Amino acid sequence: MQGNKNFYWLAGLMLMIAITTMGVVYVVLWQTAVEQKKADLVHIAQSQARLIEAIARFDMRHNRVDWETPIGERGPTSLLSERAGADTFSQIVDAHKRYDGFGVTGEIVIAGIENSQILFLLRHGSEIFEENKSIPFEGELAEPMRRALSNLSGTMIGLDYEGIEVLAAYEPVDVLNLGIVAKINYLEVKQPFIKAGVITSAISFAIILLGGLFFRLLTKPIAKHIVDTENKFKNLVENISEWIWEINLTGDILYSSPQAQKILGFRGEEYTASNLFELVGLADRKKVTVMFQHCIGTQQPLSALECAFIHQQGGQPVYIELNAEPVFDAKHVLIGYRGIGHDISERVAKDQQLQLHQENLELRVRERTEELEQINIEMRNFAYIISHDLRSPLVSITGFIGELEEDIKLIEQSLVGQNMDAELQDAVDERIPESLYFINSATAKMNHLIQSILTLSRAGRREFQFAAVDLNWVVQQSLDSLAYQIEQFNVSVELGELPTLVTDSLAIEQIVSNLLGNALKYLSTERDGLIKIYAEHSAQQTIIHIEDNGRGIAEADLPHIFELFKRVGKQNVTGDGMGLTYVQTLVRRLGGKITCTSTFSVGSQFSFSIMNREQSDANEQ
Amino acid sequence: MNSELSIILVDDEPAHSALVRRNLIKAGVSNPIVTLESGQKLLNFIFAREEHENQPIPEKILILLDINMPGLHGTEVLKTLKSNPLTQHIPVIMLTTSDDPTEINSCFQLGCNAYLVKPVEHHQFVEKIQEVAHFITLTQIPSVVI
Repeated sequence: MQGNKNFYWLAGLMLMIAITTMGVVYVVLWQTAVEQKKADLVHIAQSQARLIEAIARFDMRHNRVDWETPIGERGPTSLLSERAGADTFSQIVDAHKRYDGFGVTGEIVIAGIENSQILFLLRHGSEIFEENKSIPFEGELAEPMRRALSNLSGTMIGLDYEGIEVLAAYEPVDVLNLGIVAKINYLEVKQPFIKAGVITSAISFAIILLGGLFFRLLTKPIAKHIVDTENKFKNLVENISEWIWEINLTGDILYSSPQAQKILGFRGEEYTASNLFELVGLADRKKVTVMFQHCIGTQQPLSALECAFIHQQGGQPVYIELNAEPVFDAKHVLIGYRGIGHDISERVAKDQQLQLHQENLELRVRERTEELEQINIEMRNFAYIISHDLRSPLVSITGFIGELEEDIKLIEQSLVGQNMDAELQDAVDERIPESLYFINSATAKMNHLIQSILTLSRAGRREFQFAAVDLNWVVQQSLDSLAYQIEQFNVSVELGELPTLVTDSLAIEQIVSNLLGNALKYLSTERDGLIKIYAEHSAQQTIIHIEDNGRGIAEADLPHIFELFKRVGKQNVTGDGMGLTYVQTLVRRLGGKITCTSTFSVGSQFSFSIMNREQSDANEQ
Repeated sequence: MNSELSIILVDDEPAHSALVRRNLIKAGVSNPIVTLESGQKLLNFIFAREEHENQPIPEKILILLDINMPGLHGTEVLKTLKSNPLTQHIPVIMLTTSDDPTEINSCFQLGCNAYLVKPVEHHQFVEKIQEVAHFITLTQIPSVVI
């Protein structure tokens, strides 16, 4: 698991650090120790050499020693100990016998050259004390002594005469032409460090191991919690129906929940390498880009942006609502957006369907309205044409009746004073004139009816002229024209306050005069007439009431009063049965309604509404 | 009435033509009366003379024109006559059953000289004819006693 792997990495890293630190410390200490050791050895070698030189010089002054002849040339038999300087050397050997040496393997070696051999005069360590041993001068062994005898001074790591690797300081002894080497086995120098290294390494390992385990122990619950939380959120993100995504400022997808597969039809995980804007259909791409640019510019969240993405398999549009929050880095710089995509395809489809239905419905309503308007126009034209076409034969009938009447008069005149058959007499005197009279009154009635239809059809066709009309004036005009009847029947008129309306003045005059005329026509014989006229004014419309205390209308008749040529109740007054139909047509054309409430033998109330309009609406009808 | 003036009566309804003719005669109009049944026939009578070779065109004419006729509508005939410089001086009296103000108005706009609504009393005819014919040559119209 990722957590464990990380843990091992961490432990490894700690180990590496520990080893490196240890290594560095070790090397520095080692170098310091070696340098120290070298210094010690140099000190020993040099001090010994100077001491020997001092003793030798002393001896030289006080003994008869042939100092002039070099040791190597004093004769083949003479051993160094027995030759010149032997006294001096014996003192040194003696001194060394009283000295314990240094270290376990530390040795001071003094040698000279004899017969191309390195003749070791003294080897003095803690455990050995040996004299007189020689090895060849040329060779790999005893490199430090070789250097000392070559009159060199310094330190080195090399093989001693026994072939052991040693750290050595070498120094020539001038007076006696000897060389002195202070050396110690290199292994002895290394030994404590190797030991310390092993111990510290072991302790470090132990501590790291323990620390690691302890760390692991401590962090495990935390790591587990983190892992659990992560899993939980991952699970949540991957299982909700919303598509969760994160993009940078150029729209490259940094994260996308696997819902992208389901919603947008991705097969694999290519969506993680896509650009969000490029997944949007061409139709909406610009809108989305502009919207995002705006949000980026203002650093605001993106809210409810609806757009059509393209399905990766089918290519059909997928409608998605995007909501996103800006993402800032630690320095509060906007680096991208993190958001949710909600698949609204179903809703959009429903909306589209609904819109289609609505459009269909509107279309149907429009069609039906047009149809009705057409029918209405046809009806009006029909009434107009009928009335015209009916008038033509009527004109002929009326004309020829006139002709007949004149001709009959001629006949009558010519027959005056002549004896006639009683039957003929009766025909000429009575029946023919009577027939002609009835034909005349029938045609007159027919003419009247046609005229009425014509008037009505004109009421429906006439173009209204809208202007401000004072209703008080209109009512007063009507009352004035009816003044004779008002006086004759002793009718009182109560007039309320009436408004000024923008309407067609002729139409309103005709409505009012018809209704007032009716009220006067159908007065009750049992009481004095009373007519009330008043108005109700609201924002949309004005309702005008004309109320009388006349004979009233029977309940059964009430629904028929506005029908054409319908006359109800007692027919003792003249009328063409057209007035109310005409009034209704006018009221409707003015955008109003007329109603009648009535109680038989108590009175009637006619109320009509007029749609209020502004002066500027004039003539829009 | 001066015999030089011919009255041309255009009406698709024979009964109406007969009545008008009677009325005119009763009113004492003795001028020749030509009856035509349609607007097209009137236009032919005036513009396409070959059909009426045996019927010489009168020197002075006055037209009584019905409006609602099948085929060519009276107003169209009026428009043709009044928009042609050769015929626009001919007096035309519209004679129709319609008293629709818009129709009356449009006829006057097209240039009719008078408008009568049927049924017409015969004295109205004479008044109008006098009025209109006066417009052409006063001397040719005698006073009419009813």
